[in-house]
Amino acid sequence: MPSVHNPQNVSIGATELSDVLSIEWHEHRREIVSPPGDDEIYHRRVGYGSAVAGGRLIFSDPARAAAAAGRFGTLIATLEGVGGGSDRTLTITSVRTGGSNNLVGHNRAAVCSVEFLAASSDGAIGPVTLT
Amino acid sequence: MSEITISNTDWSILNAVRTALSDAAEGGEAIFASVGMTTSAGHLRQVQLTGKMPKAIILYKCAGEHNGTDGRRFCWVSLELILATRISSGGDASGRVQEILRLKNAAINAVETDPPAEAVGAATADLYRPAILWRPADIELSEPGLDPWVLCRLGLEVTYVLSTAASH
Repeated sequence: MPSVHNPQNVSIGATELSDVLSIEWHEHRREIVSPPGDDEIYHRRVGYGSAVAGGRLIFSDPARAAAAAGRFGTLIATLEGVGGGSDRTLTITSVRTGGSNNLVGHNRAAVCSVEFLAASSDGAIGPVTLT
Repeated sequence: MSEITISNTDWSILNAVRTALSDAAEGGEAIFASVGMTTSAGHLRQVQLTGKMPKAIILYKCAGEHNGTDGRRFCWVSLELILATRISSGGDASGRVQEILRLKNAAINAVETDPPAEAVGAATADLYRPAILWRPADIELSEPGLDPWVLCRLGLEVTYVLSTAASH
């Protein structure tokens, strides 16, 4: 079954990010739900409105996460193909990273994450492409 | 032909463990009279339990590896330290137990004091391996009067990191 794994060569703008364990991205669209009528259980009309793209980068080293915080630029990552899948390049434009969240414990890897939001260049084209 | 480089880190680690055991001393006296290697516990029983004691024999068991970040390989080599000494005793085996446990703890202290230079802990989201992982020791108190050798089989896993998949 084709898939991708092992994000590598991760960068935001001119900043290279080392030891990225995982990249998570999403496009959350606002739910549009018309109110049901009297004595109706289900909505008759549902849909999605405007979208907010974002995600987070996962590290196992708080220093690596701190280096990724407060960045702006295009996020690029190579995703290695597995199971017959091809290598992919993930590109997310106009990424702005926030601060880091860190959890360090005994006998386990630290879990450190940096959230980001991504903007569209013209409001019509999504910021995420996978080629 | 493609020119490659072989670092053979597994061997470097075995050799470092052997050196640590050989160099271990208490009060200026070596803990182990001899330190050897084997790839077979059966062979050990047949030909290596002779001569000076106590002995430490390093049994290579296997190696494994895992994908690390940025193309690295998180690798580990799994060993078993077989510590052996001869102690004759009567019905009470407490002297044999005490001595083999002393050797077991000496071996741990020796490796922890002088660990392989390549040993490092490694972690990803779904894997955590300390630089040196000790497994529970298995003590074999052979039958008093018949076989005076007492054995301790002590599992040991040493983790190291290679920069690329072609750096083995």
